[in-house]
Amino acid sequence: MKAGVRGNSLPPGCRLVASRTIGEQRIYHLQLENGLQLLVWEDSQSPVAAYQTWFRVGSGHEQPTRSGMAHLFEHLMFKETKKRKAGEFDRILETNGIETNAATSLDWTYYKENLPSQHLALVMELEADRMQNMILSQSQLDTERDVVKNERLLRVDNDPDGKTQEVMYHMHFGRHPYGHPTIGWMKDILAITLDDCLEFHRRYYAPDNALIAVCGDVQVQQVAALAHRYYGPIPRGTGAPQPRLRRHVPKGLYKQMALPVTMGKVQLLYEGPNAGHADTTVFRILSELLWGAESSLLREQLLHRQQLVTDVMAYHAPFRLAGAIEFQLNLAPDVTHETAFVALQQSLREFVAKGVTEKELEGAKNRVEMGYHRSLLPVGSRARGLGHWQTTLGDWRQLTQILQRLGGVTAQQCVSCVQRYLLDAKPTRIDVMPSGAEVAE
Amino acid sequence: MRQYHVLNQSMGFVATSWSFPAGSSLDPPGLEGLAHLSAELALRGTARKSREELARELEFLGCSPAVEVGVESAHFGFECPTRYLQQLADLLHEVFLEPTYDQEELARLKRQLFGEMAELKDNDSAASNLFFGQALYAGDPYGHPIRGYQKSVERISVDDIRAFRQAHYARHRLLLGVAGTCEQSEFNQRFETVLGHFPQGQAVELPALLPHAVDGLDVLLVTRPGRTQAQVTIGQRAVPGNSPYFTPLRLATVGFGGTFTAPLVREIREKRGWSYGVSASLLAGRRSGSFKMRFAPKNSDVLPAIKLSLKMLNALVQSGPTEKNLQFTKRFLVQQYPFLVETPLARLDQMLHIAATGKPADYLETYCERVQAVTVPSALEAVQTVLSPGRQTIVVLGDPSLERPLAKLAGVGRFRTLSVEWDQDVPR
Repeated sequence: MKAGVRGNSLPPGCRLVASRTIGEQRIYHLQLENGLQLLVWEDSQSPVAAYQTWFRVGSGHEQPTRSGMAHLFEHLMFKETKKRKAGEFDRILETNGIETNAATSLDWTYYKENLPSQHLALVMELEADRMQNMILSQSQLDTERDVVKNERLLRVDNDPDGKTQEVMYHMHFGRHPYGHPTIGWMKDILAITLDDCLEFHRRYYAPDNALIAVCGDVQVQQVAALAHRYYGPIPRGTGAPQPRLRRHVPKGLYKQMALPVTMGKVQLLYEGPNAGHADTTVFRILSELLWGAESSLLREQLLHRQQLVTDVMAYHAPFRLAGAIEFQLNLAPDVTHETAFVALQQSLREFVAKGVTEKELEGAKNRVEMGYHRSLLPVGSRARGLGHWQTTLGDWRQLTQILQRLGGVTAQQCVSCVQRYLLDAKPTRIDVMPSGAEVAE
Repeated sequence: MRQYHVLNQSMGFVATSWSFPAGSSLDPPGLEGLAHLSAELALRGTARKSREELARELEFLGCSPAVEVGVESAHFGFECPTRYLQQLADLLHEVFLEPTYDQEELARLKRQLFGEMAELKDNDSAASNLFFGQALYAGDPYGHPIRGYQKSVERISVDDIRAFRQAHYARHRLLLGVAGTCEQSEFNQRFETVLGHFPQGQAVELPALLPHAVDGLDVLLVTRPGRTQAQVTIGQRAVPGNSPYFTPLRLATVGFGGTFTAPLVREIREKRGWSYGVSASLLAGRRSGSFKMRFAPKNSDVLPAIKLSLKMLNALVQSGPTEKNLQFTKRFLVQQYPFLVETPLARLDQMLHIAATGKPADYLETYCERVQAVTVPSALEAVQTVLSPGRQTIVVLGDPSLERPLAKLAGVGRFRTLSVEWDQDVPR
């Protein structure tokens, strides 16, 4: 059995917060004096590691009139530092076979490297460098703004589904922190200044607003020593303001949009449980029972039996401040939007009336279990799970407790959640019509 | 049958992959989409179970069946916790050996397929890919959409599907992959009722690919009015996976546009901000392959970006990669190797891909040596033998206003315009 780490085997200024054993592997939660948190999942099965730097800042932290800042800044992080010229960061990583990328969401921004594990020190030195020594210039901002404008054209302005989703979140959340798009409104992207970027970096890119998730062929003492060396000297920030958790009351708004699509669609957004709410586990099961599997209720009813749609997709997104349950119904020819929507509601009512059998529940749990095991095979997915849960909820153990929580979900809970979140609520709804169709005002 | 097995005692589940060389390139003329429908119908019921019963029983085991049809092959993926392996074997016996060819289920499947085809056309990137494949292999079975055309799909009958399955889903054509917590002997024993009873089938003769006969740039504008940004794909046919030119050409391509710091990406994205995504890639199958450059600039940048990428491609073919660039690419690929085999599923995917594309059996074990063996002269020979900058196929999906500038592009041998709505089978 592998020996665990003790507080006195860590470098000074680095403390062990918690640890947990999973099979023959171990996860450690450490913290430096400057507030930087480290999550280390040791696994020596393959000579690789995933290294991820998570910041507690996403588009939900922006003012609604300054949208797109977190995302544009993510692009700028790959530019220049006091030590390294523009482009050098990527070049050094790629020369060593290290893949790098980043992503911004509503609650967080993260930067990732997939590396051959012998390059851990190199990656930590480079990441610590850009956390504290970043340099920005107007020309870099201008070029990267053009790239982001193109990204917006690609993902939103020339993509009917992207466009609909942007409008739907805005209708649903209004002036709530989730009401503006992560990529930003085009006018806001154009208005971002160099000073905005510098202020954003100063406010949010500090060690006490960040955490490092490392998974793979590494030793916790090694990670701690390198963190102490490279990140230890970075001073704490001045405090990163976090948006308050507040009750959001959706108004059940409705809109029609004419877009260049071949077939009509119904897009729905219901308020769902947010991250950490006990009902999020129930929705993992419900996603299998209602829409995720070929034999799920809505695919069986709307797609196969009634043939009202050519596809039905849905997704539960448990963000930090609020949850969203999205549906997309792609209409079959000659089926009206209202017919499909009414059929969806009718199917959900029948689900509540009939209930869930023990066998259906067991099958759904089996599928979630399979998905969970499969998703945790690559080191990158595990690091992402640790980083996501710790950043969103301050509780990385959520990742390791999923199956345990799942076991406790009952058929009655499934029925109650459908009633409460989907039948008793009025969704935000957009009916997408093919261009040329008549759109009601 | 060829079988590949990756044992891993800690996974707790077993993933299986069943592939047949039964892709869309085997669709008979006029029945485009047959390979795709044949594979999809396989999971729509058996002689003993309805579609719904089969789905319920497979999904109870934790299995989310995957069906994927490409130009060269049809693939089925099934996985389940090891404790359910025998139940999975029993169900797959029915799926592969007791098929049903239900008229009603086929009609329902076709209706869903038409919806999928429409959805695909609504997405610029997916539609652009579709038209590029058709332009690159115009008139050849490699070129038509994998899902077929609306008219050809309408023509396909259950008898067509029965005949296709009997000819192509045969034991000697099966490529079986297994990864997970199960010894190969135990797997074979549990699946004996499937593996031991597959029909033998017959040898399938494949016609030679038709040449791409346009002299000069072959430009196709696919119009979607109102678009402010275009999807651009520039490329040509390249080499199959077993070609001696494959590895040197791959290194030249990765060094040219396969990383964030590659010259093509640097010039189009980093220096000019013309496109969010930029890439050059090399794909290789068993019989053919393709080289592609892709980017998505706003309308006013489309022509400059095409001209610049063609100029850069020309320079690559004239001189090959520089020594510095080649050394960088070698180091990048060799150091990336552990990720190719990071998990049991990743290793199995590599093994199956190597087998399907006809690469040497020791390709995975000798991958790093093969990469290291590439020299500037061998890369230059590969790009000069395979790539023809003046005979690229260029597909632009965007606003009709792009027609005039594109038609004036220097070196155009053929220029065509099609609406994105276009969907019809062309008589050969």
